Amino acid sequence: MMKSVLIFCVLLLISVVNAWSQTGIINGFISDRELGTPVAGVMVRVDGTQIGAVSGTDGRFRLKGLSAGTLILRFSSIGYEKSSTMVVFRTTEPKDIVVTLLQSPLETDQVVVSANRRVQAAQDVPISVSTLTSADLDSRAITKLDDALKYVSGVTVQGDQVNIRGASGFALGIGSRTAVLLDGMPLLSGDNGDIKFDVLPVADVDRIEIIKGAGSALYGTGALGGVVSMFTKPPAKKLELSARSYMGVYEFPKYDSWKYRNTVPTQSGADLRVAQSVGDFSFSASGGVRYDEGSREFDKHLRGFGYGKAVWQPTYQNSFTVATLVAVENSQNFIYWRNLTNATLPPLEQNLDERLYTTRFALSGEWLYLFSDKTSLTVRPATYRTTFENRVNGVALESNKSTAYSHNVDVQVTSVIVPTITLTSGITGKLNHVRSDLYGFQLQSIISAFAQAEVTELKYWVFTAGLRVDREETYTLKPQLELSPKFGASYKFSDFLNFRASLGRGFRAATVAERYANIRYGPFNVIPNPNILPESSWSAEIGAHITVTNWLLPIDVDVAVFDNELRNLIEPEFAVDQASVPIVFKNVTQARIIGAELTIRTLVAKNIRFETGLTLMAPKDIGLDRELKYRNAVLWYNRASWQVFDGVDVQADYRYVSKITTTDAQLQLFIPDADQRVPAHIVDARLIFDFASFLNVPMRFSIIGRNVMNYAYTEYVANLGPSRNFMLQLEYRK
Amino acid sequence: MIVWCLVLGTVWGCEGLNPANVPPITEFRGTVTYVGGEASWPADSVYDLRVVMFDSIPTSTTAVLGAILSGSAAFSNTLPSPAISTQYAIQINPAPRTFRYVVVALRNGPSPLTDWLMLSVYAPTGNVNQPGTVSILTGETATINFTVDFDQLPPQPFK
Repeated sequence: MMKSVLIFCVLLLISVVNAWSQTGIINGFISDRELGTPVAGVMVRVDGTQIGAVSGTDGRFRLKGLSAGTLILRFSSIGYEKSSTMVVFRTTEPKDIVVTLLQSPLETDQVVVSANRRVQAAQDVPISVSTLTSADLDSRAITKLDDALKYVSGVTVQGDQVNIRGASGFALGIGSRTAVLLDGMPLLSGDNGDIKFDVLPVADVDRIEIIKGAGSALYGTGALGGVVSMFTKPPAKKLELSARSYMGVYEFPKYDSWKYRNTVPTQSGADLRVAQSVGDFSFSASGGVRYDEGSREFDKHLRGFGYGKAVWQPTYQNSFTVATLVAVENSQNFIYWRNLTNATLPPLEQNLDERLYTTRFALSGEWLYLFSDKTSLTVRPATYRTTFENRVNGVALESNKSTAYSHNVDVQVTSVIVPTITLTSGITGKLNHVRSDLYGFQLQSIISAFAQAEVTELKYWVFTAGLRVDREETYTLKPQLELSPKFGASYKFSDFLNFRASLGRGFRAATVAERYANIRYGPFNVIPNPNILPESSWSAEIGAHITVTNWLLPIDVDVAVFDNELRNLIEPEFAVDQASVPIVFKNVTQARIIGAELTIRTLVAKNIRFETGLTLMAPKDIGLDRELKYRNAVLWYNRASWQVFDGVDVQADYRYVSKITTTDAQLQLFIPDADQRVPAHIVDARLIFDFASFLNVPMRFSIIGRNVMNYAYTEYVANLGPSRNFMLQLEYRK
Repeated sequence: MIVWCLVLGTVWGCEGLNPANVPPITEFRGTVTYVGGEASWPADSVYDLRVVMFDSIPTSTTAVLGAILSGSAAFSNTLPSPAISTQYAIQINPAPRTFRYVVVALRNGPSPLTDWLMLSVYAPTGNVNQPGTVSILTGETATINFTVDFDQLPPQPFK
């Protein structure tokens, strides 16, 4: 550990050696080449530096802290072709430039932040990354962020658990194998290691990046199967105001025996967001409420959340950010069905007066300091408090409640050592503090150091190598040391073809819940097993990305083959040697998931877009020489959108998820008809009217249909998916 | 468009889950009521609690586990404790079937082999010395309620 700290200190010294020198400013304006209108949201980067900016709604941007010399500025934005310009810059006088961008029929040339913890072009990243922008969320009328993730190839969401390329199975909602971050702040709870997506500020989210494959070399524990990193919107110069309200109904269930009430269940919600910059200050605030009766009895939810962010940038060198997230939820807790005949009812022994009451509170800060145009320091402290308790008629059940804190601090230095080498290094600390009737009083600490170098020495190659050291210790248990290396390379074969290859290790320390749970969960008794070791993975991938805009059809193709080797997987197992057959979390499985993924986006006709993502996997339990349980072999996602005329869009999505063929046989002892499963065929459709296009009113009206074919399927074991439901959504945006 | 037509055609042709595809449910259900409420429960000795329906009367404590593991008994999920009353359900598959000894069984120690105690026995005549036999036909739902009095347990079947 001392060695790691020493290495980090040396790297830090190297970084700081880049002395700050006299600097200057470039002011810019970006417009659409054909329309002449300002283009907002363009990412501007200066080659060989840490300097960057995003254009505001007026198309203007400002780059500060630039050293004199010949600079290459690169511009990228969704819906536009990438562009670059060379600027001869003297620091004695501000420079004004004007840039025009050409519209691109396909949304290409995106930038990615999460893959290497710094802004870079997507084609330079050696690992599969999918990006969802706020435009994607808007166009699909997303009200819950996990709904958005369901439209990403290779990703499924079961409850709130994100499963990337089969890394996760069925784990009673405990122990996410995907790291989840909001503006760099970890969002997994300190006890269960879980995430609640529907309390996150949808209106504030600017971009979601999904890294597919092990990401522990930069993100540490939890990034076993991948990383979901969300970024909030930068406030604009002028006041931004948006409001959204929606309401809808679920249809009666498909079969009479599933009908459990005489009126249709409803869902409704509202969001409000306001943001503005004033001088050196900017802020954004948003909040929302959600009410959802669900399409099953005892599945009602009422949620409220608020989010606020304030940024102060007194000089171009310093930027301070404070953000907070508050969420409360009062819900019924449908765990599994009574049986297939009564699939919309909970088990008979379920106390229908019981409620699950949860709260979440996060407070985070960020200090960004530019030592020079080539070296930056980022310090991110954060704390995340989560509570849950079961209540009966408003009275808390003492035996089923938990309070957990997850304190995090992250210090990162990014430095362009020489124009061809970028070094990213840092140290992180995490302290999980749990006080619970279920888990006892527990402390879990993880301290880490990481470093990564990217080399662009050869004209067409980008090489990446990194290493992270984590030391995990849980109260009284023997500390665990984890080394997570990563290697990657990307090769620009031509302007339209890139290749990539990567190899990286991931790990996940057992959560407090997995080690210490002494809980009755539905019919299951879960008993503790403190001696669980961290689980780990090696992910290897080879991929290629092709973007062609001048063929018969403009087309964007990404293809990847991957191999995920999973070791010591922590899985819930039935202890069949005990009379009550309790569940205990154990390191039980050695597994391999070999697969291939193909994603195609194209314009099949003017104003008709088509997108498809096919993921084929062969998940194998090596120890038992059989298929790995609770995994899907095929995921197939399709999307078509047709702009009927300016301001009117028709969209349809189709998701196919193959049937899970291998499960725990003992489940059927506890859950009637637990073996009843089918492949999932889910069709969603939307009709969107954008009044800004034809009435010059900044409003949008959407008619949204989900599961429009009313297909009956299980989302996970003994949990019927939602029946056909429709929503009307009205949105105002200024 | 062709792809979407194929998709819609495929989904249209897929039935999905259908409750008609599972055999009709044969089920015992009922309520277990505890005399004296939660205060009457023995502290620290409730390891497992279930309604258990035996094909034949177990004559030793080890026969309880043997019947469960061999399939010659049907049993409910673990019942919550302590409680004033609780509902249970046991699905019977295959059916029809006859049970000659139906009880609320408590495991009051760490050993699933030896630590069994019968808390209440199904006795339609009211005489707990004469346990009742119950039969159920396919698709039937039968109700059996139990009353547990920790101060007045039924005779234990073990020799």
